[in-house]
Amino acid sequence: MLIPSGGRRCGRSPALVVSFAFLLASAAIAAQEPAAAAARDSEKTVVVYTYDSFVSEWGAGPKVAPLFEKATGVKVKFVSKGDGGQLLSSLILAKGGLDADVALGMDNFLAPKALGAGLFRPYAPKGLAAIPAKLRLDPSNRLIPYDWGNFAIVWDSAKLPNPPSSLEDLTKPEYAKKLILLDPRTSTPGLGFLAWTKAVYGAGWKDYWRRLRPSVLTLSPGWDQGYGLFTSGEAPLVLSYAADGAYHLEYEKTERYKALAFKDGFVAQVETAGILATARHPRNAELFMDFLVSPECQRELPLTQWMYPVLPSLPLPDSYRAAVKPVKSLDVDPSGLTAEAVEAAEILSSGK
Amino acid sequence: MGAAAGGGSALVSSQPASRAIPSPPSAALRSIPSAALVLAYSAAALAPLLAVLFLSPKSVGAGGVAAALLGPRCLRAVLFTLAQAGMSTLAALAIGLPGAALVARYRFPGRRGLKALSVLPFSMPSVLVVLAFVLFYGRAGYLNRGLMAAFGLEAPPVDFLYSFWGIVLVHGFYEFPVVLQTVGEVWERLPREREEAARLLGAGKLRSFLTGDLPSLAPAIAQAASLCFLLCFFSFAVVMVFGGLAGSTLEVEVYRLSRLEANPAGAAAVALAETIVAMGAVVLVGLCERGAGAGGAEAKGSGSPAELRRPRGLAALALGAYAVFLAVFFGGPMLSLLGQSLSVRSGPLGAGHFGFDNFGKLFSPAGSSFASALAGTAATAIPAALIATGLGCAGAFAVRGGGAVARAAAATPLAVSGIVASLGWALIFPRGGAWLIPAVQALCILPYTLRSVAAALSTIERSPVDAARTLGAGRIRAAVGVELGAVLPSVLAAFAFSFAAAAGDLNVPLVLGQGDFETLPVYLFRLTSAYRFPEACAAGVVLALMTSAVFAFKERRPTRDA
Amino acid sequence: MLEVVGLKKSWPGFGLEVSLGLAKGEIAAVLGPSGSGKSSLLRLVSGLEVPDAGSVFVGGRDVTRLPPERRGIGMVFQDYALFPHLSVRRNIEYGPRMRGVPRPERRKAAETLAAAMEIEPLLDRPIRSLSGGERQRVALARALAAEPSILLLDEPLSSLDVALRLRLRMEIADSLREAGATAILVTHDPKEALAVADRIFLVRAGRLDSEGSPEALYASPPTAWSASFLGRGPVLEVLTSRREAGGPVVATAFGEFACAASSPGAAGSSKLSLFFPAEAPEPCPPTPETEVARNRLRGRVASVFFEGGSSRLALDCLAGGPGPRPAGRVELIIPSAGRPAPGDLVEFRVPRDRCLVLPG
Repeated sequence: MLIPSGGRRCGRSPALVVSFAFLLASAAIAAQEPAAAAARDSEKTVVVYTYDSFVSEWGAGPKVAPLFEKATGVKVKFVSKGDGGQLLSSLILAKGGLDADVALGMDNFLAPKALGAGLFRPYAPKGLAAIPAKLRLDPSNRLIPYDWGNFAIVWDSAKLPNPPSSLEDLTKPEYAKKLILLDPRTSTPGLGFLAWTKAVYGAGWKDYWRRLRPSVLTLSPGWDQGYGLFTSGEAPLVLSYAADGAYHLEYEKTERYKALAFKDGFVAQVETAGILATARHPRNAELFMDFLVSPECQRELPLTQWMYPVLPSLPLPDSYRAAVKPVKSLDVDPSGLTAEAVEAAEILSSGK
Repeated sequence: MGAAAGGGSALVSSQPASRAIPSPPSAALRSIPSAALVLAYSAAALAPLLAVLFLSPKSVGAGGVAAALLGPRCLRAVLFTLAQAGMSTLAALAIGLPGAALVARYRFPGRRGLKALSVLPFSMPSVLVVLAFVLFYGRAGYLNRGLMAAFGLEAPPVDFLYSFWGIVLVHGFYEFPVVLQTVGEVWERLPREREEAARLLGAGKLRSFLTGDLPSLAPAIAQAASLCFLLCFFSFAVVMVFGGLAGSTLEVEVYRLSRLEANPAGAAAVALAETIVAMGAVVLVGLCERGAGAGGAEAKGSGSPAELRRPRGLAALALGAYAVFLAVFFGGPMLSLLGQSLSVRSGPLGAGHFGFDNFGKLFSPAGSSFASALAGTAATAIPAALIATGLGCAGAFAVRGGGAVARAAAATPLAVSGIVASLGWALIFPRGGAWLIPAVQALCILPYTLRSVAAALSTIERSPVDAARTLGAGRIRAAVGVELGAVLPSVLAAFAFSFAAAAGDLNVPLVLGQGDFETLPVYLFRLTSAYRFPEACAAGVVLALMTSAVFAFKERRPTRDA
Repeated sequence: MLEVVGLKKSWPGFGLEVSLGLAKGEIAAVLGPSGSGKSSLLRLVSGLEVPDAGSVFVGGRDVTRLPPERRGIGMVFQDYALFPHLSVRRNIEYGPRMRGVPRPERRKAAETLAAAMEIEPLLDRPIRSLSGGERQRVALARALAAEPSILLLDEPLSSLDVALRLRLRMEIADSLREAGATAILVTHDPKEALAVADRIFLVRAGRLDSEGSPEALYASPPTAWSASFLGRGPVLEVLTSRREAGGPVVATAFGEFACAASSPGAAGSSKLSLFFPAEAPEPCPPTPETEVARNRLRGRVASVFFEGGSSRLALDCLAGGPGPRPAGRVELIIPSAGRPAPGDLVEFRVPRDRCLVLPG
C-alpha cells in the first residue's frame, strides 16, 4: 500500500489500524466464501435468485429455508439481485450463464417480459390445483404464483379526519398536497396505481391524472422512501399495500395507519416464481416449487411478505383484521404499461 | 609550490571546454504516463456500462430506445438535469466557500468538528438524507411547525421543498463538504505573499484577495464544482422526491428501463448518453480552467502559508453567523433524523414518545444481524478507502503532468449511472464475491481522493524534492517520502472521506453482495423495506457516528495547526 | 523619513526589539544571520504583522495603527510574489491602479519605469515565461510604480545565482537611487550590504547590534560580533587586559598584543575581544625560541586558497611562549605572490596600530 513511510512521526497506530482492518476484512470475506462455495458444489442444494427483501432478516427467506431443509434434506441458497426488475435484467443479460435454479419474485407486471425472454421451464407443482385460477397467470405453468396483494391508499387516521373513499374522491380540493404517490416509472406500486386508474377510468385515465395532480405532494422513487415520508407525518395519504395496517397492528400495536377500502375495487399484484431452463439442479428446483405452494411455506408469508398466500383456505394471522379486504378485483393489462407510465409522470409534472 | 601549481593546472586542462547539456524530455513525453493512466482508469469505469450494452441479447429493443433518445422528451430531461445540477453546484459553492475560507484562515473551537460533521450526508444512504430534510423543511417539518407556532400562521410558510429549488437546497447541503474539503485544503496551504504584495501595493483586503489568492484557488474551485456537478447530475432519490413534479431526468429513464421494463440494454444506452453529456460538461469545465488562469497552476510558492489566527472583529462576526447558519439549516435536518431515531411509536393511537428502544432493537442479540452488518461495513469500507487513497495518490502524481483535461477525465467513474454499473459488474464477474465490493467502491471513490491529493500537491514547492534527489533518493522515493509527507493531511482527509463514502454506499453491496454479505447501508435499506423506519434512523445514526469517528481520529494526526 | 521606535514583538522562543531611523533618500541595509529577525522586522514595519508595542512613523505620520495598504510602504518579496495571471505590464500598473490613477497615465508611468529598468520588451509577456532575474526586476518595478514613501526589500537577490546576484545588486542600487527611494534592504550577505547601502543596521537575535556607514563599519567594527559577521578579520578572545601609555595591552591564547585603542563600547563590557583586519598581519622572520614577542602570530599553515591577487590563508596557531601548544585557527588574507604552502611553519607580525579591543 502506498502509505508513506514519511509517517514515522505518525507513530505506530495507523499501522495497527491498517493491520486490524485487513484482519477483519479477510476474516469477514473468508467467512462468506466457503459456505457459498460449498452450497454451490453440493448436490443437495438449490439456488434461488430473488429480490432483496426476501432474503433480509425480516423477510420470508430466513424463515422458510430451514423448513425446506427439514422437509426435503435439500439446502436452499437465496441470492439477492436487487429488486424484481433487476433480477430479471440480470437473468436476461446472463443468458443462462448464472447458476440459478429458480427465479422468485417476478410479479404480474414483469411476467410478460419474463415469459417473453424464454427463460423458464414449465412445471406443475403438487398442490397447484389448490391455487385459485385467477391467480394462475401462466397457463403453461412456467411461472407459478406464490403470494399476492392489493395496492391501496393508506391513511394516517391521526392526521386526517375524513379520508377519501374512492379514486375520484382523491381529487377533491380538501386533499390538496396530501397524497404521496409512487413514481410509476420506477416502482411497481406506482405502476400498479396506473393500472388501477386505467382499469377504473378506461380511456379517460389521463384526465383523471390531470385532476389528481393538485392532490399529489410528491412522487417518490420507491416504496420505502414514500412510506418513510408518510410515517414521518409529512402527508396523511400514501400509495402502498392493503395489508399495511396488519404490520402496524402486529408490531406497533396500533390501528393508526390503515388502508382505505375504495369503492372502485382494487388492482392485484401477484408474485410468481419459476424454474429456469438452465437450472443445474432441476429435481431440487421442483422440490422447492412444491414447497413454495405448500401450506407449510405459505403459512410464513403473511407476516414476512405482508402479502396474502395463494392458498385461500389458510387462516390469516389475527393482525390481518386490520388489513383491508378486497371488495372487487380488477383486471390488469400490463402490456404497454411502462411506456404509459412515462406519460402519466409527465402529466403530473406539467399538467398537460 | 611549483608542484602545487602544476597539479592545479593539470586538473584544469583536463576538463572539456564546454559540454552540451541534453534538454529534459519534452512536456508531451512526460504526459504519456498520465494519459495512459487516465485511459486505463476511464476504461475500467466504463467497462460495466459497455458490457451491458454490448453483451445483451440482440432481441432486446435497444434500437427503439436509441431512437427515443433523440426525442423532445429526452431533450427536456437533459436540460432539466443540467439545470438542477448546475444550480445545485452553485448552491454548494455558496455554502462551502465561506466555510473553506474560515477553516483555512482561522483557528476556532469546533474547526475540526466542522470538517467531521460536514461529511454526514455523504455517509448516509439517500433515503435517510431525504427523510432528514423532509423532517426539517417539510410541510409538517420542524421549521414550518416552529414558524407557524411562532407567528400563528395557518399554512406552512416554507413550501418550496417539493420544487426545483427544493432540489437545489438539499443538494447544496449534501455537497458543500466536497467544496469545503477540496478548496479548504488548498486554501490552507496558499502562500500568503501574493495577497500581501497586493496589500502593499494599495489594495484593500477584498481586492488583494481577488488579485492574490483567487487565481490560485480557481483550479481547486473548478474541481470541486465539477465533482459536485457530477454528483448532482446522477442524484436520483433527492431529485425524484423533491423535483418529481418539477421535471424528469435521464437517470429516471435508466431506472425505468432496468427495473420495471427489465430492458438492460436500453438502460445502458440511456446511461451512455448520460455519461457523454455529463463528461462533456466536466471536460468543458476543465478546458475553461486551463484557458482562464494558467497562472493558477503556480499555486505553489516558496512562501509559507498564513498562520491560523483567532478571528477578531468582523471575522468573528462572520464566523458566528456562518456557524449559526450551518447549525440551523444543516444541523436541523441531521438533528431531526436523530430525533426520529429516538422516537418510539406505541399505543393504539400510534403516538411517538422519546426512547432508546430503536437502538435497543439494533443491538439486541436475538436474531439481529446488526453486528455482522457493522463488521461487513468495516470489512468493505476500510479496504475500499485504502485502495482508493493509495491509487488516488499514485494517480495524483501521474496526473500532475497531464493538466486540467486529464484531471477532468479522472472523474469518469462518477459519470456512470450506478444502477447500470452494478448490473455490468455483476455481469462481468458473475460469481461475485465479497472482494468485488471494495474494488468497485474504490473505483467510484477514486475521483475524490485523486483530486484531493492532486490539489494539495499543486501547492507544494519543488525544492525539497530536488534536495531529496540530490541526497540520493530515487525519483519515486523522493516523491513518496518528501511530497507525500508534505501533503499527508490531505491524504488522511481523502482516506476519511473515502471511508465515509464507502461506508454509506448502498448500491454496490446490495447488488454485488448477492444478498448474504451485509453492510450497514444494506441493513438499513432492509429495515426501510420492512416498515421499520425508526430503527432505520437509529442505524443511520450509528453509521454517522462511525464515519465521524474516523474523521475525528484522522484529525488527531499532527496537522498544520497542532 | 522612517522612524521605528521601540518596536517589540515576541514569539515562542524568540523576541524582537528594535529602534531605528532612516532619512529621506537613504538606502539602509538590515544585515544579520538567518533567524535573526530581519524579515520579521520588515513585516512589522510594513504592517503585515502587528507589534506588541512600539510605533512606526513614516514621514512624521504615525502609521502604527494603519493597515498595510494605507501606510505608503512598499515591499519586494523574496520570491517576488508576482501575480501570475496578469501580464508584466498589468503587474507594474497594479499599484497606480489601486490609487485610482487613470489608465493613460498608468500606462505611461509603467512604460517609463520599464524602460529605466530595461525590461521594456517584457511588458506584455506572461509571468511564467520570465527568468529569475527578469522577475526580480519586474517585482522592483512594480513596487516602485506604486511610489511608496518607504520601500522594503526582503532578501531580493537570494533566489538568484551568484553572477546574476552581483550584476543585479548594482542595478537595484542604481534604480533605487535614480528613483530617490528611501529603502531598507534585508540581506544576510555582508558584501551586498556594504556595496548597496548608505547605512547598515546589524541585527543579532532580534536586537540591533551595531549600526553605521559601510566605511565606518568596515574600518572599525564597533563590536566583536559585527567584526566576525562582517568577516573583517580574526576576533580573538581576550583573557586579561591592562592599560599602557600607548594603548591597551591584552593577553590572548595566541600571545600578548599591544593595541592602538579600544572601541567606545569596550569600557562597559565585561567581555572583550581582540580584532585586527585579516590583511593586517605581515610576514616576519621567526622569533627565536628564547624570546617572547608581542603582536605575533605563529603556526602551521593549514590551507591556502588562491583568490587572484590575494590568497586566503588558514593558520593553525601555536600559543605564545615556549612549547608547541595549539591556540586555535585564524584566517588571514595575504598577497598571493610568495605565499606559503600547507604545512609550512610561518610567523606573522600584527602592527599595533591595526589592533583594536572590542566589546563582546
